[in-house]
Amino acid sequence: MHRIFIITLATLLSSGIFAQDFTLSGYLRDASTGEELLYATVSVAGTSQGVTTNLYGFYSLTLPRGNYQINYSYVGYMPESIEVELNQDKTLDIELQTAPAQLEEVVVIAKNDNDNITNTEVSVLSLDVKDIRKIPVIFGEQDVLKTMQLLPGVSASSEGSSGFFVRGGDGDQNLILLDEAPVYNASHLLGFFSVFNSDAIKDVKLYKGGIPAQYGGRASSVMDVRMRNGNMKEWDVSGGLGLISSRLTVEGPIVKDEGSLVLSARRTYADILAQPFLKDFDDFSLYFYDLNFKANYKLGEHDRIYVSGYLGRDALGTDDFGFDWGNMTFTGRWNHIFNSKLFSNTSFIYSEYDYGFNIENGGVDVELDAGIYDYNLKQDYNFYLNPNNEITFGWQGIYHQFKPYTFAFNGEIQSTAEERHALESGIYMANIQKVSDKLQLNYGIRLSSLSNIGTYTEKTYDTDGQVTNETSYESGEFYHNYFNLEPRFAATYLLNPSQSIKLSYNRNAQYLHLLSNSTAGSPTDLWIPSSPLVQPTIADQVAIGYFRNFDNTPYKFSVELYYKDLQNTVDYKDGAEVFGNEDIESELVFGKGRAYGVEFLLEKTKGQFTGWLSYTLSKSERQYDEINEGDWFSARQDRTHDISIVGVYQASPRLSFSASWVYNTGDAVTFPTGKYFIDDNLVNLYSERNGDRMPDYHRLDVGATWKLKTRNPEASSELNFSVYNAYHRKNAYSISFDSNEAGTAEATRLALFGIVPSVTWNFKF
Amino acid sequence: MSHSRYIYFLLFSLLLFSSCEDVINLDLDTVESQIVIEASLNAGSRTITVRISKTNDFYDNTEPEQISGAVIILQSETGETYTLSEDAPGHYTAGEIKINLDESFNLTVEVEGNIYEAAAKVPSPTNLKEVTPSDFPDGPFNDGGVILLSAVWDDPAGSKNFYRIRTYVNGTFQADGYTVLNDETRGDGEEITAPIQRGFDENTTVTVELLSTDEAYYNYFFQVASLSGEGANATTPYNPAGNFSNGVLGYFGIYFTSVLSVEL
Repeated sequence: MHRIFIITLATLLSSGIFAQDFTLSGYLRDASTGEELLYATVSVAGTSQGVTTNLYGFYSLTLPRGNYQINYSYVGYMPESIEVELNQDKTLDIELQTAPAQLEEVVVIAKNDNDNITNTEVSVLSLDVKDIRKIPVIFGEQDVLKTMQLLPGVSASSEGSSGFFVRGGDGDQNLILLDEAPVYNASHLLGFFSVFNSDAIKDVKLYKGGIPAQYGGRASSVMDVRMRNGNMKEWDVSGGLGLISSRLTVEGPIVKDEGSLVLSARRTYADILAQPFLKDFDDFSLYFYDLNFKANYKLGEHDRIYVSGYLGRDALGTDDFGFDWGNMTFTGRWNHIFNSKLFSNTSFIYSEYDYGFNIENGGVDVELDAGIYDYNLKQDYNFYLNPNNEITFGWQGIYHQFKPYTFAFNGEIQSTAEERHALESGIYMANIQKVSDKLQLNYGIRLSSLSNIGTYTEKTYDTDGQVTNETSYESGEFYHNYFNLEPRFAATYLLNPSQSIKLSYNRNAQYLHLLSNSTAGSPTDLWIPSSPLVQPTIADQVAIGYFRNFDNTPYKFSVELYYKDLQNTVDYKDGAEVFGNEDIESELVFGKGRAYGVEFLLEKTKGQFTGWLSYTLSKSERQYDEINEGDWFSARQDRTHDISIVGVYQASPRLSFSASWVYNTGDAVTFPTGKYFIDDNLVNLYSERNGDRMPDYHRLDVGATWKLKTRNPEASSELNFSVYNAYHRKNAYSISFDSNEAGTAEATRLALFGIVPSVTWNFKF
Repeated sequence: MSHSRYIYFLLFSLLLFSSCEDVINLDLDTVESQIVIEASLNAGSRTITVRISKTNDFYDNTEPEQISGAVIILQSETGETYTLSEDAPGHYTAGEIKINLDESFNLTVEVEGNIYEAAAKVPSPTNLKEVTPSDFPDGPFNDGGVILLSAVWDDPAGSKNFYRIRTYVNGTFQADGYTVLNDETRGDGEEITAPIQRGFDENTTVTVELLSTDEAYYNYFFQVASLSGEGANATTPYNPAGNFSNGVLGYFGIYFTSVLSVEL
């Protein structure tokens, strides 16, 4: 299919319509490290024409013959302006110098001064990882997911957690990509850390809405995380020593300016610290580690290959039981420049998430293993037709393998749930079109599909969960298909150079479902594919936004309004038997959802004092015939008011202070309306699902970063102090209702974190 | 796999040095009282006991109201009927019930103008073989004391079997902490070693009672047990659904018991 596109486009090109036009193309890089700059702006001085670099730092600009002044700019870097005489196709690779520290900006929406106004991106949050280092965090461990949660429309799934909800969507509706590889569980230690080691990460972009056609597979959001390529110029060692974790990164050129590699490792040692508190334990372990690896090499002018991988593992155990889980991803990529207008990327991706238990009891060794395994082939093209049209197209195929569980006793397999296989595919095409100086459109379409593949025995169930019919399918048989057409649309209308209105609509189909019967989620939650019984979740979202930069001031403002409609959401029945259940589909109920809200963001991006203020007012509801007597009820993540204030004060070139304060009204929760006794033990009586609210949550974190003097000006050494929950608020993590030893019924609040101070030393040499 | 629950307790107790628990007062909604029927047929002692009470407000610490004057009839598959008599307010019994394996029983409860019906089936009896010290779970996070025990028995082959373990310390029933399991994941007909989900203290006499239950009893207590998680492990709250018609709270179940005592 994509060949046809190329041929059509090539025909267009050679037709002579653009005979007087020439193309300027190349890469944009950091001058000191050679790292490519993503989403940077390349513009023609004195006009509104321009492009942004793609995910690999490549740009292409086609203009009529003539002399131009080309401006290259990127947040945190000194802009460059180059005179170009365009009388033939030209390649121009540009390196930008980093800006001096006092000019550093903290920007969350756009990479460039006016991008937030002019680009077609609506509902997009973008974080430059080096910008967030000064924001105070728990245990002093920088975490892009935690910082995202300080932005409008994104909320944490629970205290200290890296799980998140986007615009009232469910936790499994976020597509989390690490160098294009899906990450199925982005949490370590039940969510207190995310799997993203900041040292290894270059850029994070979260699409809350207006999701471009190149992404598919999840209903609510896309989080695109890109790893660093590594220093192309010289070898570097950097790292950090913290109270409960340490990090080390080594990077450098394989061949200077030709190829580089980066290896980053992180490990926690909470167990070693905890040991004195746990005298009763022998051989106790509780830790996680992460390894990130990436290498790239230029094969001549037009080709470049990248290999990257991630391995992360959590382990927990004593001498007679163990529990571990983790992700593994591998991405192999080939960038090819067909010509100055056509850029191609081919990726092969492997992604795995698995977990296992091992329990030794009464001489019996019990083992449980489960996992999901993906093989993914992906092809993307960027075609820079002319300065007003940038076309992207491509396709993708993911072969999913699901192993729900295997139980073994003394190494002998006792029971296995049948493996499932499915092929998820997508083909897309989109165009970013400048219709006029004031109007820019981004429209596209994605055709997605899911095919269930044998060997498998599909069952149907009656209302009591008893099997009514079984159909067996042979190995390799494509026995059931779903197809969905997913339109994507975004428009930006400039009211004037500093104000714009943006509109977006997107439909997303989701063919994978995460089943969880606990309120907070756990590593053992089960991923299942859509099937003849379980229909794909379909989300439709419209959003409208007003963006404004206040002239000659460092303030940026935006407000967005959204409405999201969800079809075919999946949940467990009340009291579902989850573990070791071969008929898990008989335990499911299917419903629908809706979410809407308004988000405000005010940023100050320059000066000694930078920061932002974010406010979200929202509602998220679900409806299942079997739950709450079929009435609409608040989703667990429904949060009416959510406020975050973040500030960073650069007191001197060496010293900065930071603080963040969050306040939100409680999430929806079900409290008892009465009680009764079964076999003399208290059982709570519930009436309306999620009809109550947790108490309001608020917390202040403060931090300070102090740059130490180093002999070598290239090296750096800094101390980061932070205090989490500075005024020691007892925020309720959960509330349980039971009788105490005296037999009196009482509500008990569990507050996870009181005040938590920490210190981290970060270095680079 | 209720072990996973302990893993979370363990994680929390470790990671969160600064965590704390305290009692808070909440303004809870109240609803009209509802009937609760607990009906158990002990197939070993051939006695049926039915308790009928009403729910009360969460913060109401008076005894739940016991409901007198119910008409309760037990009918066996073979056509025998037994009428229960009220020996204390809300407490009804009948004895000398003829039991055949796999036989179904119907229970009809007429109370406050409504009729509730439930059916249950006589399960297979099993005998406890031994009570042994358990290695798992190992830590400071379980209810009660520090000594952990497992119960061991042989699962009857060729049928689905369901179990619940109840414990008594120095003769006192320990109402909290549920050990509820079936033979599906453990292998039909195999020896089962089940860790008891609570801890015990030294110098006590622990009596372990293995209930071999029918599916209805198991289903009900599985739900009750699944609701007892806390913190990150808390299950989405709901009212356990029993096997009575008209959705009344409670259950009707049949079980055999087998008892062993150990001195700790």
